[in-house]
Amino acid sequence: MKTKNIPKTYISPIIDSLIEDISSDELEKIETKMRLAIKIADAIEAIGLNKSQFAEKIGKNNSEISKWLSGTHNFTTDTLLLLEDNLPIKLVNSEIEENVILYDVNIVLRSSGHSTSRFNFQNLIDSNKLERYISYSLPA
Amino acid sequence: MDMECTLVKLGQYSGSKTSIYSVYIEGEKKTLYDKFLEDNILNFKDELKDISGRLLTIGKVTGARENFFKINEGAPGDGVCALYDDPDTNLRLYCIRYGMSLVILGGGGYKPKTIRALQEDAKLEDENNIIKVLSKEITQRMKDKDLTFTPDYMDFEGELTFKLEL
Repeated sequence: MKTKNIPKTYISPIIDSLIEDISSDELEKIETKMRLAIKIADAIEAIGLNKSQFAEKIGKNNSEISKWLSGTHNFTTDTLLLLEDNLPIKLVNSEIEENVILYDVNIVLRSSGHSTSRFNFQNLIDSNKLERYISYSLPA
Repeated sequence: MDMECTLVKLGQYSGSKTSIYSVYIEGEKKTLYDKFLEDNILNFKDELKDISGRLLTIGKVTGARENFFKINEGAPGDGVCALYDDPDTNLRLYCIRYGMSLVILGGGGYKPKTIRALQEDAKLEDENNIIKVLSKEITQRMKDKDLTFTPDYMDFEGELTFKLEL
């Protein structure tokens, strides 16, 4: 090799402005769709089929399977259940949580000569688990 | 027409899973991918945000899974593909995919709604041709050992500037 240059890292202003406009919710949706596609693709591979063979097995077009695995698809419950019936994976959690009690408690502490402090407790309690989220913030 | 260009790594998208490159055009001081964004941001901003989010996820979370691309958009085995686009969407983005860990973004554009129109679309054909010529040049440089992958296959190293004859 004549030269061994390493690539420059380029920071594009237009990419920056585009990324700034993507909300964390939007990004989470995109990531979830892509993770779901991977889970399904891996499960198809795990049962020893390729895309075309799997399409044939479940009576769908190859292009439909490509769309499902593309990481862009909004799945319906019907499709997820069809996939669960034909693959060794769980995609839908439809169990109903029983005995869920939600507490939302705000406590404000005041003391003369001191800043006010606010606490918020949210206790999600059910028969199996107890989770406590505590947020604490000082007033501005 | 000749196009002098250099492979650059896109800092915003590249992560621990995949390095995402584009082609910096020396005469225009921007990349092919920048031009794709500029050309379409007014009419298809939401689609560009979706594409951008997917590229971020590929770079930092999932890697460049083959399923996320439409393969065989070039000559057999040359790696030329397009980021997956649904028939209902408006944009196509051409790429070269080197396994899970390295992708080069080219240009693209508005995608006509019928297959015949798509095959005859001059702008997309030009963009497809640029990425095919680049892929061929990269393959030749690799054969000549003027360009290689780093040992982790995440990056190129070597002669990164090209004069593409289009």
